[in-house]
Amino acid sequence: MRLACMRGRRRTGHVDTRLERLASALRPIGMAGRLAITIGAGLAVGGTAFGDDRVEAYAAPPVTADSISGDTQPSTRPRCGPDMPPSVHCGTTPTAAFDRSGRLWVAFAQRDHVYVASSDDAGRSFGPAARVNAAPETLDVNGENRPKIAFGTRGEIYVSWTRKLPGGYNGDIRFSRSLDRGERFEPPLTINDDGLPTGHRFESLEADAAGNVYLVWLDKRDTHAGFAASGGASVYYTVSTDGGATFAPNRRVAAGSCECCRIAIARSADSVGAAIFWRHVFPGSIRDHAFAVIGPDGVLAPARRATYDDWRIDACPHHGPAMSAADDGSYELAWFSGGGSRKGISYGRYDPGSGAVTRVRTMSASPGASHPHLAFVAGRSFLVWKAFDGARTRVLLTVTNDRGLEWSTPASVASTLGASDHPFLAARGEEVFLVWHTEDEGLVVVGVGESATPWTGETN
Amino acid sequence: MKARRPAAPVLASTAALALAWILPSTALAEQMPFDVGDLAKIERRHGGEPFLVVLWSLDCPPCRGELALLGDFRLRHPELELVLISTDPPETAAAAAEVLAGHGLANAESYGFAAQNAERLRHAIDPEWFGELPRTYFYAADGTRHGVSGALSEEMLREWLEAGR
Repeated sequence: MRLACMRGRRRTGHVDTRLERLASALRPIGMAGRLAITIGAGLAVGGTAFGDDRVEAYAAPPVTADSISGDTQPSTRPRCGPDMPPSVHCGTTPTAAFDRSGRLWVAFAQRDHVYVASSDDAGRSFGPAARVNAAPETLDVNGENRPKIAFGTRGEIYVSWTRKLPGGYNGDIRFSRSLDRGERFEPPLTINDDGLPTGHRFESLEADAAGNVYLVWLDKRDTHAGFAASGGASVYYTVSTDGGATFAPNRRVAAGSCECCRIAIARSADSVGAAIFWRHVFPGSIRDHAFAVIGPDGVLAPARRATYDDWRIDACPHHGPAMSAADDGSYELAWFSGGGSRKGISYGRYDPGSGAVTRVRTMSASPGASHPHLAFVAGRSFLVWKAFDGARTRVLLTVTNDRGLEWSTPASVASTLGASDHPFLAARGEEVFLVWHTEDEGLVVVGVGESATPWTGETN
Repeated sequence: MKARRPAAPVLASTAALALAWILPSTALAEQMPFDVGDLAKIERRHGGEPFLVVLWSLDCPPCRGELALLGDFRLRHPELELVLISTDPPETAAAAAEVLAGHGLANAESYGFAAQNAERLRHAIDPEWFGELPRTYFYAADGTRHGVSGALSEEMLREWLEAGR
């Protein structure tokens, strides 16, 4: 709602839709992050940058290299006002994922509804949006807490979100599914089963290789009941083993989590269960991260500490981590820390067997570096984060071909002058795409699959 | 949803401040919009005296404890010069004002982020700040400041006040 309202209010033409191609960014370390890239190259990235057909519903003028080559060109994005039809560009907090057939699905919020739209050309154009919740409800959406989408083994489409309830931090976890390829969604279920008017928010959603559907969230029931020691939240989860028709009783994974950071969830390609990684509050008010694995019959690997920055703070970072399953049983992690022994965006590999985190490296300690996301695809890890330099927000990308030993020079793959959402990566087979929602450009989907130069990283 | 957008922020700010001082502490004070240049104005207005700038948001649980502490502390230390800035978007200004009133801070000098591009506003306040909340800047009388992330303690406030005397 925030971006939609804003776009309706002011679109004065200070839009720079420059996209930079990673291949063009093969440059010495000292030049990392500078923009000297032609727009033509940006548009050439698999045709996924800005196609005029993406906004055909708004009869937008065709986007050409010339029309977006300057800093002050008028926007070609749809003008989003309160009466516009649902659209991935005008809605807020879109979350995107490719299904096994290569179709891109996006769940997003617009006013009091969650919608789902899909694209068979990797985000250049979208079909009409399907309404998920038929009855309007107040949605609790922000960068850290957004609608989610996942796919079952039999073509099911699963969607979840948080419904805002009266009271400061109260909410319900909501879930719906479509069994007809996104045409219609079933009436939503409320997933939290405690019946308490308390906080159930920041849900994450994933389905494993066996088709089990997991929902995990931050839950205040223990605080409400008066027996949580920390006064923070707890991590709870539930699972459906019948394709989202019914869910098991809620189970607690851990007590004493941070209260407003997203939970990273990842499935491995072929195993049962889902790994989760979240910001926990360790003794001494240290807000580092914990890791666990949840399964169809209970917690498979109990919570263990996975990051050791010793960020001692009684504050809300609003800054959850990211995780992707590697092909060797390890998990690739990315997270933010604002202090302690390590500050900025970090990477590490977590081995659930030993509990060891290895190859930890500070990817960026620059002020303004935020909200990392990563994807492990075909032996390589792609890592993005946002960087703001006082004028422009960029998404920087770095890639490792050897599981975190060496990384490419971080290169800007997209930038914007206006407000922007967190950046996300989505994979279609071995192709990787940046998915980024911006105030000025709407939903941007850019292929980022090029290789790049080695990089030794910032000084830790 | 009814955040006022004054065309002349300085005049409106002054008017709102005057109004805030007249209102009893239970009434809801209007939050003034905080834009890129507004910290400099705040610094000019309060320059020469120690003052606090406290950033908070509705969706930050530790901030509530901080506001409770500040509301309580101000009762006993009315000399505390306090500026509150909520990082919430303009749509939630009324909710933010309600929270402040609940902590006895309805008549405090209070701002809310005016623009949706929070990154730009955060950068204007302090490029080194990553956005964690609450965040407090202790301004000395000579205009120098230091930033602290996380909830304050009463001791920190008292020591700072005494040091500034």
